[in-house]
Amino acid sequence: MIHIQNLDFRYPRADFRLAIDELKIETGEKVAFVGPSGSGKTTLLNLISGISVAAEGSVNVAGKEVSQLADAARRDFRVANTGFVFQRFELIEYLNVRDNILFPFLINPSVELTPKVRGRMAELAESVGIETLLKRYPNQLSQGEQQRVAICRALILWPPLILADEPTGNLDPGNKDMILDLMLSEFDAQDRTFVVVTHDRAVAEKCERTIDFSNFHRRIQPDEAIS
Amino acid sequence: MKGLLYLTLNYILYHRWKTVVMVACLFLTVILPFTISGLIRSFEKSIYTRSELTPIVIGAEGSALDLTLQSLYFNRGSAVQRSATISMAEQQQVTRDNLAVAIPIHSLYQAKQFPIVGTTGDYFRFRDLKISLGSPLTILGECLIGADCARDLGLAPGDQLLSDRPNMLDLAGDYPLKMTVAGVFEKSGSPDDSAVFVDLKTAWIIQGLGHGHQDLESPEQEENVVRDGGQIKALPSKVVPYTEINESNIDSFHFHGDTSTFPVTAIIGVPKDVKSETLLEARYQNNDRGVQFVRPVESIKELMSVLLRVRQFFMVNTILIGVSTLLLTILVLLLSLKLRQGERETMFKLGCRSGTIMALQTFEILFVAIVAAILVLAVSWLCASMASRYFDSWITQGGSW
Repeated sequence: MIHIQNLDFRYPRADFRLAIDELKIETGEKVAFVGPSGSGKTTLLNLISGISVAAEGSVNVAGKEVSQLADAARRDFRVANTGFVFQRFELIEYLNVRDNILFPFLINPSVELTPKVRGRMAELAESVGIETLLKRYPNQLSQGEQQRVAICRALILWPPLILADEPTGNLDPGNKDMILDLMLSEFDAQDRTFVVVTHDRAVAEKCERTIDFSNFHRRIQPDEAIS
Repeated sequence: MKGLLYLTLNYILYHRWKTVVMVACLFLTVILPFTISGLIRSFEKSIYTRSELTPIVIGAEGSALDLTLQSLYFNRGSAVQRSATISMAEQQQVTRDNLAVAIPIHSLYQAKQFPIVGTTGDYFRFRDLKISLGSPLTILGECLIGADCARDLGLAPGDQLLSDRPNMLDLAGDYPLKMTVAGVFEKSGSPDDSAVFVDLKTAWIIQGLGHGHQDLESPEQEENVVRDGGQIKALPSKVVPYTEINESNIDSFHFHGDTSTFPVTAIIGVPKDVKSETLLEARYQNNDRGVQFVRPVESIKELMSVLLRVRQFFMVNTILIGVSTLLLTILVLLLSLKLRQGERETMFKLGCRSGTIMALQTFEILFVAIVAAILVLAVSWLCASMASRYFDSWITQGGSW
C-alpha cells in the first residue's frame, strides 16, 4: 500500500529534517508511528496523503507516486484514497452530523453524492451508534460522539488507507478504549490499511507494527543547511 | 457548485446573527446616500418640471419663491403667509396688449384642507388637464376636483363640497360656499391632483365679493320669515350657515363694484414669444404698482441650489461614515476568515480543491452583499414610489418655506 524510498524532507527556513531510506506498509496492515514530539510523525502522514510534498525521494501510495501528482490531482487522490481522523476531530461546526459525515462530497466535485452513499452514511452512523444524532450539531455532542462522527467521515468514501493523528488524544479513558476498538474493528472488517500517529502505548500495542521515529528524524547540520 | 451553495447556506443559517449584522451594516451604509439621493431626484422632478412648464408669474411684491409656490403648487403655507393680491386689471392689461396668454389664479381658500383655485378655462388647457368623470364648469358654485382630492374625500360628480371657513372666530365673516362637484380630472402627477378648481367668480363669491339674495316673499321662505307690519325679516334661527348656489338663486348672484379691481393672487403668463416676454419683464421692472414679474424656474433653481448644498454636505458626511463602515465590515470579514482558518485547513487536508475554499468565502461575502443590495433596492423603490405623492402633498398642503 505504501512504499517510501530515499525520502528527504525539510521545511523551508526551519532546521527540521525527515530522512527515510525505505519504509513499506502492506495493504491491510495496522501501523503505529511513535516517537517524541517533533520527530516527524505527522509530517510523514502529510507526505503520505500528499498534503506535503518531498523535494527528494519517492512516496508511492496505492500505486500512485504522490509527489509527482499535480496539486489538484493530489487533492482528488486524497479525497478518494485516504480517510483522516484528527486529534481534535475537526468537525465543521455549522453542519449537522449527517452533513459532517458527507462533508467530502460537498467540497470536492470529483466524488459524487449518490443514494448509495447516503445509504452507507446511514449504515456507518448505525454501526458506531450515532444514528439518532444525525440532526445534531457538533457542539451538541460529547467528545466521544464527535470522534465517532469523524470516523464515519473518514470511512464514507471506502478509502483503502486510513490516517489517524492522535485519534484518542482528546478522549477520556472510557471513550478512548471504545473509539479504539471501534476503529480497529471497522478497519479490520474492510481490510483497510491503518496508519496511526500516537503517543499512547495502548494504541500502539493494538497495532501490528510500531515504527519509532527517533531513527528517521535528525537536526540539519549547519553545512547541510547551506548546501 | 451545488455543494458550495449548500455549505454557504448552512454557514449563514448557523451564524445568522452575524450575517444579519453584516447585512445591516452594508444596508445602512448604502441605503442612506442611495435613498436620499433618489428622494432629492424625485423632489427635483416633482418641483422642477412644473416650474419649467410655467414661463412667468406676475403677482404682488414680496418673496418670489412664495409667489411661485403659491401660484404653481398652491402651497398652503405660502398662501397663509402671503395674502397679498394684485388686481384683475393686471390680467386684463396683459391680455389687451396681446403679449401673453394671462391666466388668473386665485388661491386663498381651502376645502377640507385642499386648496381652492379660482381660475379660467385657459388654465385647464395650459396644464392639459382632462376630465375623466363628469363635465366642465358651467355655472357658478361648481367645482372640478383633482384625482387625489376625489380619492381622499371620496367625491364624485354630483357630490357637494363645503369650502373651509377662513377664520372660525370671525362670526361676521364670510360663510363657506357649498360647491357641487361637476367633474373629476384625470391624474396628472402634479399638484393639480390635490386641488379644487372653481371659476374665478366662484372664488370671489367665497371671498365675499359677490353674493345672492334669498327671495323672502317666496312661499318656500314662509317658515323662515316674520312679518312686522309691511316689513319681512328673516328669522335668525333659520339662517343657513353656508352659501349655496343653485338653480333657484343663481340669478340673484351679483358683484358689487368693478371686477377689474377684484383680487387675484397671481397671473400665470404664457408669452407669445421671447420679445413679448422681454417687453412684459420690462413693464414690471421698477413699477410703482407693487407688482412683480417672476420666472418660476429661477426661483426653484435658487431653492434647489440650497437643497443641493445640503445634499453635498450630507453626501460628504455619508461618504465618511460609509468608508468607516466599509472598513469595519472588512475587519469583520478578515476576522471571519481568521476564525475559519481551522475549517479551511480541515477542508484542505480532506482533499478540497483550492478554488473551492476561496469560493466558499466569496459566496458568503456575495450573499451578504446581494441581500443588502436587494434590501437597498426594495426600500429605495418603496421610498421612491411614496415620495412623489408625499412631495406633491407636502408642497401643496404642508410645506412652509
